[in-house]
Amino acid sequence: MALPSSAVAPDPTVGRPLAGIGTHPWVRFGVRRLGRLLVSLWVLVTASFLMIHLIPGDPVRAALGPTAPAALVAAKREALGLNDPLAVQYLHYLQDLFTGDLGTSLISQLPVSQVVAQRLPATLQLALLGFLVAVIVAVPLGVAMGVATRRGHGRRTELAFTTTSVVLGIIPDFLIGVLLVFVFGVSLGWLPVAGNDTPSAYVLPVLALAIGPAAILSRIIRVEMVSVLDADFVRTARAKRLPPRTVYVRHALPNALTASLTLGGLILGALVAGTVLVENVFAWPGLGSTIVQSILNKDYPVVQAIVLVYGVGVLLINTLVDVALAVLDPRSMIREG
Amino acid sequence: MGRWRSVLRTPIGLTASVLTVGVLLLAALAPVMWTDDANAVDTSNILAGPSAQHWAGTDNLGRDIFFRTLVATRLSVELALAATAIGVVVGLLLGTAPFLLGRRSGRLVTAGVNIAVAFPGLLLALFFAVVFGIGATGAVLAIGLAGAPGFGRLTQTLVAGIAARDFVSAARLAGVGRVRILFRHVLPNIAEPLVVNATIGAGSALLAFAGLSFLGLGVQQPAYDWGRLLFDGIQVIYVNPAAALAPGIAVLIAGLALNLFGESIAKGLGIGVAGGIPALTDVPDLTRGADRSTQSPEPAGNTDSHLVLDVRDLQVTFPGPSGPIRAVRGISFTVGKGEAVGIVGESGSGKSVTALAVSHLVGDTGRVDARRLDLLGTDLRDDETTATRHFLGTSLAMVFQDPMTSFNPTRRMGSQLAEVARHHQGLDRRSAMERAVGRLGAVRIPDPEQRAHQYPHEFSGGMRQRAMIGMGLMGSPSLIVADEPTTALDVTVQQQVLDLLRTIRTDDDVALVLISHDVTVVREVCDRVLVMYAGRIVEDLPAGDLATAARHPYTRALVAAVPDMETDLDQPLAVIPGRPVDAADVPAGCAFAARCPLASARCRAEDPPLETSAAGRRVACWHAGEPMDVRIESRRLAEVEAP
Amino acid sequence: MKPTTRVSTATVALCATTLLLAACGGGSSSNAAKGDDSNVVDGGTFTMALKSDPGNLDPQSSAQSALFTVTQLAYDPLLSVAADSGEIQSGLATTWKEHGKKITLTLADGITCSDGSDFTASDAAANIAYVADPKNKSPFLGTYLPVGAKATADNASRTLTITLASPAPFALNGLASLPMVCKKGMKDRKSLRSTTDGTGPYQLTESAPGDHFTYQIRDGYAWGPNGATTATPGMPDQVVVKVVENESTAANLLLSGGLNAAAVIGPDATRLEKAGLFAAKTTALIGEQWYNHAQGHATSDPALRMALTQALDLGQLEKVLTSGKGTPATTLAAIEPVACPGDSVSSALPTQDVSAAKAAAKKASPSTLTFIYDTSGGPAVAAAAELAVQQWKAAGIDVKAKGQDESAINQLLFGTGDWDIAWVPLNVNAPDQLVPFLSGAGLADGGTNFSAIDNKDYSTAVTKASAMPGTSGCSTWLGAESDLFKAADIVPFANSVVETFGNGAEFETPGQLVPTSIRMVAK
Repeated sequence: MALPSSAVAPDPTVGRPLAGIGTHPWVRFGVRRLGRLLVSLWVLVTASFLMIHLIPGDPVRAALGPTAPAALVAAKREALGLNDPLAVQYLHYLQDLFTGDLGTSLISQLPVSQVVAQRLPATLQLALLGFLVAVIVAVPLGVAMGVATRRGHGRRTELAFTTTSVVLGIIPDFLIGVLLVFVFGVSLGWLPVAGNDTPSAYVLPVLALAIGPAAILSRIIRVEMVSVLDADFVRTARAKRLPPRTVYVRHALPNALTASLTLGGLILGALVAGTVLVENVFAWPGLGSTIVQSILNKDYPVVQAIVLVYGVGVLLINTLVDVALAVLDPRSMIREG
Repeated sequence: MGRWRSVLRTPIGLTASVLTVGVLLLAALAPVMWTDDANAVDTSNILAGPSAQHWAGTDNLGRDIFFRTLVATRLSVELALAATAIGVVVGLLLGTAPFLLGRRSGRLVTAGVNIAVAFPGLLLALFFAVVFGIGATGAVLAIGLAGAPGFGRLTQTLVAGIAARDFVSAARLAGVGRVRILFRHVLPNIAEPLVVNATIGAGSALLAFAGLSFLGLGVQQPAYDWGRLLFDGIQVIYVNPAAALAPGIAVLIAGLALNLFGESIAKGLGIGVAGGIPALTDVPDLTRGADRSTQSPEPAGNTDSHLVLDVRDLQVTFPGPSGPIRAVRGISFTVGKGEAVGIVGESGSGKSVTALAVSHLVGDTGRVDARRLDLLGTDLRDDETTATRHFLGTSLAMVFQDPMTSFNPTRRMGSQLAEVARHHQGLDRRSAMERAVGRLGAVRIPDPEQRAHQYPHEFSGGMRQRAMIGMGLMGSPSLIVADEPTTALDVTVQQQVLDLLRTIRTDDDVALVLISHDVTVVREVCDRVLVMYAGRIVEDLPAGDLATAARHPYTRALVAAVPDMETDLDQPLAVIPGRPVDAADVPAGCAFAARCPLASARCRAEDPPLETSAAGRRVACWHAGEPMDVRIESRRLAEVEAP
Repeated sequence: MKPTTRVSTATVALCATTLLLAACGGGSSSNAAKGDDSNVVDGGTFTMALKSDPGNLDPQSSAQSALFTVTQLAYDPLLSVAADSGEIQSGLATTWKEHGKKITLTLADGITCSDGSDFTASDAAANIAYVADPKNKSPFLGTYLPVGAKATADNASRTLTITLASPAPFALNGLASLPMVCKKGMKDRKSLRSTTDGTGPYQLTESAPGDHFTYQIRDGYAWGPNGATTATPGMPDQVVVKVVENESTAANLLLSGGLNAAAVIGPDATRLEKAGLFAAKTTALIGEQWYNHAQGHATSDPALRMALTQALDLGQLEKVLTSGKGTPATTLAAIEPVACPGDSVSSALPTQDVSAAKAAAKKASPSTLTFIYDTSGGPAVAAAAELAVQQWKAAGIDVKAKGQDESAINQLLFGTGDWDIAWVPLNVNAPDQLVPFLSGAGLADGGTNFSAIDNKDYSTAVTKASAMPGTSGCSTWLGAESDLFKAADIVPFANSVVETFGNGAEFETPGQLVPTSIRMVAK
């Protein structure tokens, strides 16, 4: 018996993106991204565990020296659980991590988590400020440059900007730091060049950290802007006679940003790592100076913990970048995989 | 070789090359010449400032810092090169592994490399520094291995590119082993980009080494590289700043030189740089050099007030690499209220540029000149004001060719339509969205409320084109300019879009300018047709007369070239021999002469003017209407006689 | 589970590296304000820099200089020593008598602890008992308190009687370095790790380990060194001790006013001198070369030690180490107030003789030696170390230098013993305080003779000098030291002036900054 056409139900998913929550693009994206984050975290944790075991020879011996009494070495090995089979050690390591136990410093006997907790705020402040400054400078600059040097315009501006940003991007952050110390600390004496006691002490370290990434980011954004400004949909926006500012900021910029975000994420990850160098230039009391000291002193548990902290920071940045990308450009959620 | 020389031609390339050679020379020669000077201890002159004998002052042992900096070049460069070598070799192994190992293990390696690449190099270097210990050897291994993932990724991409090529597949089919293919075919082809990237990598390794030594983790006493000198120098920066500045500047110069050298080569050889960070002056741009071209004036037409569009003597010129490009060379036409005018021609005829010009969308790069360019009484030659913007935004609708790329992929469809109303009609967000939904419905998009919240990629091509039309209808347009609106669509969808356009025309009396290379489309939709060739209008006739009463040889050839239901399937398809004229190089005389079967000497010498006949039709040809023998034409056309 | 090292590294005596303010030795200063009285500003906060975190605040748990600095703010010793004359002066005790092995002290009346309770003679006796008990592992045993000391008390007469196992000539000096803990703290030892319970002029009110410690003045305090009180005008109401590891930072903070006091000995000192800041000076031993005499080390061979010593140009090393500002070493106990002034070094130390060194080295033909030094000394130390390595190389001895930070050095010296040559300045003010380091039980036997020196001449001379009362034995003490130098068992080679700069405050630093000497001045 033929059904009347009105009784035939229309396809429920056409034009109804929220139907079936399990297949919603955001959910699928979230699951995939979380999965990737967890896998990377696992690799990071395993790598930091292996770091000590990759050291040629006996790490305890290496830390204590060839003439240390054998009893001492044995005791230390026992204490660190190094006599257990590797898999058992690994499990203990993971267990300890979950409970927040990062071990004990071989040198100061303090719990590593305490050391990390003490030094983390200074590094976080530096990294966050550096990140903010870099982005706040790079995005408007990149957009402005992109508009100024769009097809057929501003040849000279382009050359000047590109040269400057290339040079600034190549100079390593610690060199910029040294130069800043020399100019503003030694010669002019305007700004403090060590420690983090006064607000003005933040200026130079943040600058040293942010200048390079800002230069590279603005370069990328400029190139992407120029390319996007040539796109069809920008022509459409112009055809709609929208004011230029709306065309640049509401149409061109989001698309330029999506293209810049991936690289931007890598650059910001490098900025976080840059705190190690900058902290050492400016005697900044953070994780960066601690890890260097610990490596020199062969204080492995501390090094392990700080490597973990930095690694987690980088992974988080990458994840945030992917989420931001998904928010800005929903197509990327589908493209993933 | 010539490509390499081109590198030296740019100022940056030249400077970088000179500096790099200088650094290498210094690395080789400085220790030979100045080791003694660098090692001379003088404890009576500790931490002295710069002076005539010691250009950069002295260190804690009274040794000359300037000479120490020079001598340190060798160690710094050697270590950097060693680290780069390690990075490249390991990277090569990682990158060729997927090719050699097959899918599953290859994927594991790829995944591993991808995870490693996400971590900044310094972090990896610190990790390996712990494993390998501090000191020069440990640091070399650390920096080398830290750079390996990057090279691995690059190699992977390059290998994948080559592996996909035909000759590799052929070799594989022929049973050649993977390793052999790798060495014989793949590696030689990726050598060049690898070397260039390695040069840039050497620059980065140099800087990384300076960083590690600066931290105290690299070169240890009594050896010294620039980083170690910096480490010493910064501790005494207040006493003798030159102690830090000298090695700092050295690092800077050498690092910059190597990096820029590599990037210049990359640019010169057209090689992509790993990491995707754009190389120098990436975006191509046009040189300036517009030329003012003059045109013989066309007779003045009437200034009828129900003309929607009145164009007189429109010329559009663009700057080109070898002189100005005259895309439109003086055309005049009008479009009346509710009238549909089609513009046909091959690519390069100037029809799209005309569409842009009458929509005021040519942009800063092109020059638009006209004796008259009026849209509904507004002179489009004036600079754009807010009033003009609002006017154009509501009275003129544009439909572009490629619906796939004509919408902003990052914004929802509804808001892109609503934007028009918010900016030009002062509507608030809700009312504008309501109107947008309404327009979407008007162009027959089903479920418009849902659709308005979707993104463009969720629409099909035809739907997007209709949405584009709907966007044009947000105002109350008097004119729709459609540039190849159906070219990118399926035939069935084409029909829907054309029907829509027709409906809008009849319902609201909206004029239409339809540009297409497809004569059949134009014939179906338009009242009148302008045929353009090489930036000029060569014929202006009613659409109905296209098949039967075309007079210009080009028009007739265009019509004949379209197969229809009665075309003889046994005969080859009719074509117009020859190629369209290059807009940068327009010949004297009639532009079509080279391909025209009716061309005579006069045609080649003199450009025929566009002459208006009594019925209002125009044609520009010395031999208009003469019988012609379109080569390989269908039988029907051979019997047609021009009126 | 705490790792079991023989001697817990955190507790060992390293009255340290002169980079730090303090050293071991209770100096006192005159109560009178220095400079113009009209300049003095009463009250306010005095902020001083500390080079490293003291860690466990228990004053008797470690003799690290960082701890010493903060200890004297909140705790007092029984006696004090005058900076200029070396004379014993009052502390918590107002009278003292020493006959043979018995020391009788009378405490001042009305001494109160920071919680308001009284400090009695029996509290003092409990302190002595605590330190004397080897189970408590106090580093003061054997240095400031002779081994085997016993104490009894009579609260009614406020008398404390200490009976020594054998005569100790500088016992009174030692007592001047022994801080007294109040009853509450003695009962609850663990609380002393992070709080203070003492009789001192200030008390700890707030602490952020690793960052800073805040102390508040105690009104009514009247039993300071030589009777100093907190009523004196110019004393700050609050003292903030800030941990500033980097000397340049400290220098900058001083110049900007963020600090009132910091010891700066590196290149930044020149900057501060140029800026005309107030500087309190004190001498310290800064270059002291130890050899590892333990079996299994090439340096256990006296001929090699002699070769290593003769290979060096000590004068040049001293110049580099002190950036030209220092002087050759005089004695091993060089901190003010010096108990036995004199020069035991210059006549005894082997002179440079590179050819002799070469010959001996060839005979001994050692493998590569490990040489450690403290990097917190800055580039000057590293440069001097490099020079020393060069000089040894010229004599045919291969030495590998390893710069370490203070805690790592501690670990190496007292834990693992992985070193052959070490530059570790050990600063004390009385020669008997060094005896446990220069002779007697080594680390394996629970002692602090970390370099395992075993010099019969020294031990004999020490026994003799210990029997001679007070400063009368000084020449014997100095002779004992010379015996060590003649045998090249230990090589002191550089003294330096440690400057503590002040901005907005003046103070005295006889060996260390004395809290009751602080006077805030108008800037």
